[in-house]
Amino acid sequence: MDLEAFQKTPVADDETLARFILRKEWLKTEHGKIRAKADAFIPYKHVELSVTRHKHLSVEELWGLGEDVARLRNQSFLGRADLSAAKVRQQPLNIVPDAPPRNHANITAWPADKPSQKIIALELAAGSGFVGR
Amino acid sequence: MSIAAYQNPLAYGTPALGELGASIARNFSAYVSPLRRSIALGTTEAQTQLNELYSTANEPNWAGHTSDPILATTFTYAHAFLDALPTGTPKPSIGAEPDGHITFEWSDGPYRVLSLSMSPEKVLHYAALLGVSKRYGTEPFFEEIPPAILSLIAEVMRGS
Repeated sequence: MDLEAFQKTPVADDETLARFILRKEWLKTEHGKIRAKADAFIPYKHVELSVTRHKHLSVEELWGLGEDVARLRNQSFLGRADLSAAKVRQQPLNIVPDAPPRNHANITAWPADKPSQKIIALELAAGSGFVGR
Repeated sequence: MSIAAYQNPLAYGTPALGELGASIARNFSAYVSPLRRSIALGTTEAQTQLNELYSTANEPNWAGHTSDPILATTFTYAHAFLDALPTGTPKPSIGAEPDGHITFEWSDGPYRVLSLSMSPEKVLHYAALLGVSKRYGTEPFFEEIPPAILSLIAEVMRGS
């Protein structure tokens, strides 16, 4: 697969997407398990949510991209919340490839009002699994 | 424990109890306030977490580029919200969103969760997953917890 060409291919339903977690306030421990909170899935400022496609990345490459993001934002890299593209599309959202950086995509078409954004963020958080760095 | 109806029982007047009732009403707040601040009830811990959050998120880009700081007004309103929670309310998880809103979350599993956002306009945006059903909307905050919010907290946490 031509990696450069892949960056522009539409995101398939069976792809896994990573939301990098940079703040400890975006995590909670529940019944002994660490989970990402809805706070990590609120789009801002451009009403789009930044994610990274797992496809064609090794685990170390994926972690490396997260560390790049954390370094750029002067934050700690705590891990990632993984969710399937199919779960995202159960909401009225789009997923748009947006490289560079490599494998970057944006979740777009969010509603404008805060409560509607929050309920979607809750559902994305509920459908995600946290992997600690 | 029900939290929905915990109010000063004498707040609406004590004609039948006269001086005794008036004295109880006067002392009610003095009695309850220390309880509300009891570490065992979690309010002080939540307030400490709120203070820690504010100290790390009151500058622009606290969560990376494009995140707005938590304003002092939002911080004050969030403290008032915690103070207004009825005694016995489970402690919320404190957080913040990139638009600078402070969040309070109660949950009992991924699909039983309530998230509130306190805005600088003193408005509470909320969203709740209750199994297969969901609720979301906005309530003004006038120094008392809106009944709709108390009801949602109770509903989310009823299995806990």
